[in-house]
Amino acid sequence: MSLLLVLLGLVPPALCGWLLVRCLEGSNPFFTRLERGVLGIIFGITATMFTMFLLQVTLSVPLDIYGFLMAFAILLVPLLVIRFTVLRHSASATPVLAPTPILPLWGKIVIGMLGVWTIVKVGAAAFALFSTPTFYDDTIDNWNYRAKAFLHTQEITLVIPPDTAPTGISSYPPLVPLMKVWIGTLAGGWNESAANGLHAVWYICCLVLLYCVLRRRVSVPWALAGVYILSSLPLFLIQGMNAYADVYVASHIFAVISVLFMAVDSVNRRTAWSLLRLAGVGIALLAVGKNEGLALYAPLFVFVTLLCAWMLCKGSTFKTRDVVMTGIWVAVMLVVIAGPWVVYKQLNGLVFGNAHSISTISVSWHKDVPFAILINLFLEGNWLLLFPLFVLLLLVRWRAAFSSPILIPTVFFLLAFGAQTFLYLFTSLASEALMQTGYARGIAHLVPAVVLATVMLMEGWLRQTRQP
Amino acid sequence: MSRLRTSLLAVAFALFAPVSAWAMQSATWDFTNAQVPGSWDVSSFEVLQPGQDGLHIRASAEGRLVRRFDPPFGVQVIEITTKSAQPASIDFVWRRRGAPPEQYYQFSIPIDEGVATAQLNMPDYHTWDARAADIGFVIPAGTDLYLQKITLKRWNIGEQLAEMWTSFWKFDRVQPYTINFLWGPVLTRTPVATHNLWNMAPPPRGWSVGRFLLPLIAAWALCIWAWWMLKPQSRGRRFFGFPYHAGVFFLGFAVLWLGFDLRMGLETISYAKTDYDTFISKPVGERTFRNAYTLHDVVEQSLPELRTSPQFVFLPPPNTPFRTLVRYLTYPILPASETDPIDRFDTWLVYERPDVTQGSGGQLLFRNQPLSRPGTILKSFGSGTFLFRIDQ
Repeated sequence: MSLLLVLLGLVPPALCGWLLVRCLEGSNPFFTRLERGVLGIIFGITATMFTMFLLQVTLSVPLDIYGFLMAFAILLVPLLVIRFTVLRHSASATPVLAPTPILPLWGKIVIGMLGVWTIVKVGAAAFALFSTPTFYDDTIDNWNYRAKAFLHTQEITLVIPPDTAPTGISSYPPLVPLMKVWIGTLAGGWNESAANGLHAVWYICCLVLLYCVLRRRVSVPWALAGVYILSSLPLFLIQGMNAYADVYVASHIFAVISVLFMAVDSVNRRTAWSLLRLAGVGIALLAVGKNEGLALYAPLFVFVTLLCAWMLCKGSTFKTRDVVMTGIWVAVMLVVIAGPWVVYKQLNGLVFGNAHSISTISVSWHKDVPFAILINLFLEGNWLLLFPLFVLLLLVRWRAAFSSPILIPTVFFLLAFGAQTFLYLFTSLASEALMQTGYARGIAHLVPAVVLATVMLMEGWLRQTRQP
Repeated sequence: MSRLRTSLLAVAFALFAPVSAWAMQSATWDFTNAQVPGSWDVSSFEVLQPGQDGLHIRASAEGRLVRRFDPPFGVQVIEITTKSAQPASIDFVWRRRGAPPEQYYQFSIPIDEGVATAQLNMPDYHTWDARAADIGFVIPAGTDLYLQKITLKRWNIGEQLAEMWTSFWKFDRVQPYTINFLWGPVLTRTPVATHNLWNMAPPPRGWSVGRFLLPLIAAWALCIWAWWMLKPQSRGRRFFGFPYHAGVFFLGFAVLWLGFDLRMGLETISYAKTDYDTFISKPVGERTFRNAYTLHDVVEQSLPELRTSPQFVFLPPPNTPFRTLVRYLTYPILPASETDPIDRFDTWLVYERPDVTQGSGGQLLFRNQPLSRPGTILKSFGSGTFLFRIDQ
């Protein structure tokens, strides 16, 4: 029943997201149905819930069935009009996938066994997610608690009893709780199992999107290897199969990475431009999804997007004017989408950090943090052997790591990792690393990109050595 | 050839040497039957008398028993068997070799009622010296017990390796920190350490498996690289499509990855299995959920009565996160805050508070002091856990 509720609740946002992606593709559709569907779910949930947020805080539209249907309609109607008028005669997508060799029997057996093992692990975690009560602090204090309050009051309230004034948790964007409110509205009341089970959607989206992105470049076995590697990361599975928002952020980050990855060595200007348009919207939606999306990742993505545009210019797909237009487009999207959220925060005195004010963070060196980072990445059970492998490949295959298209996930990861490390080394956020509380969440945001780069580097090594 | 034969003979000797050379070593100091092994330096005790049941120690003031250690082997585990009429606590002390005479390290050992054995895994304490100069006890005032036996133990290399294999497969449980990080496999060298692995407050005492995996991977890569350098004629070969050496390296790496994945995957599955066994498959009233124990069941069964008013009094054990959890579970009905005057509220949910009882007059008592007006226990869920309503 809870699973059905989640699936039913996904339909309107996924439909809006599908159409959003399709409209941004323009008259040269690029994505396969599966890619568009996954990107549609990721972007659609955020876009529709952000629309609901705007309706609630500006026009006091209540968070009931009619309010949500209004939010869906506001997006759906114009997107449908665009799709079936302006884009009515657009060509169908003809994605080119990498060839797949015929596998020997032992290869099929290995893939089958790993597939079954992956399904068992993920299935066990999903079963626990749907069948057990909420357990972790941030869900009890923040994501689910605010959702319950919003559902009960049918409005976005910054003061949640027993508090008498806004607290730190009110500074978090309300989009994840709003999606739970939507599901609760469909269910006729709070449904714990469905509210928690929703989070599995973002985890599955990461796996499927990774497969789709890899499949454009590598054969089926390699794409499946990427999915296996990502799904075997224990902490990513734990995060994805619990009601925390970090895999939600990871799915957004990876969605933008994927689009840029597909765009960077495009030879068709219109295709490249439609992908960068989508990336711009994705960056703006990330900025309103969670606080670090605005404070940390959006600026990095602006740089990476411009880098992508510059590389397209270097490859003669883009002209200089197109690079400038890319920058303007991303800036406009950030102003149009993230702007209202920033204004809302300012008007309500909400901080820009996660329950902490960024402006009050002091700078000083914390000498034990590097060791804590090493422990988290290499000595605990969080990421298996991903980081030793990634570091090894970066060292041995550094030229490939910094050439198109692997450059995109590599550069983004190094920038984001560097920025995170700076914050942990030099600010009071050091406690999050020393106590191993918040540190791994930031890494969870980045691991899909790391896995993409890792698989591409390994596969590229083989392809390079096969060439005469 | 003779060098090869010598090497083979050495290996055969090592493998087939007498079994006793491979057994766990132990030595026991038995204090029962009026024995006192060794010479002890003692401060004055009210009673210090060898007897049938062991060395009877009664301390009216803090006292010390210390002896020269001089063990026959490097000690890993010390077992202390006592007999006591009531729970107590004593300190185990030791002095490292070469340390000044009064420089002792110590930690507290809880003593259970009756005949009990405390097992101390000494490598847990980084100041422990396996051949310490002195060991002994500091006995607090008011302690009355019999010291029956002290057993010293050490496991040989093979047994320690076997224990490391056993501890590799011992899984953690879901804890509040599991969402933030996973310890992963932790290797221990004694059965006591393995038993305690996930039962004591973190961090776990042992070695992260990463300590071995990373050097192993580095050594493996180094060997492959050396092979590549020393055998250039093999460079053109292929191994499942990879360059031969890279292929061999990645095969080894994949084996390690799969082993690690199997270990962590089984741990993840064990989380779900434990939840199924303790919560999902049980009827309401018999469920426990992780470190919240029976709280979810108690709240679920109490909700109809709690909902009769917008707030209620919730009395959990001190220093527990249960108040926040109950606030979440009962929202929009809320537990009163700790600063609210509790006599305003009619409904009380008392959880795991054996120190809160109902007096003969019907009021709740805390350490025999009245806590509430007279009322009725609506539902009882076990010792110290009940739903209470003030009589109108």
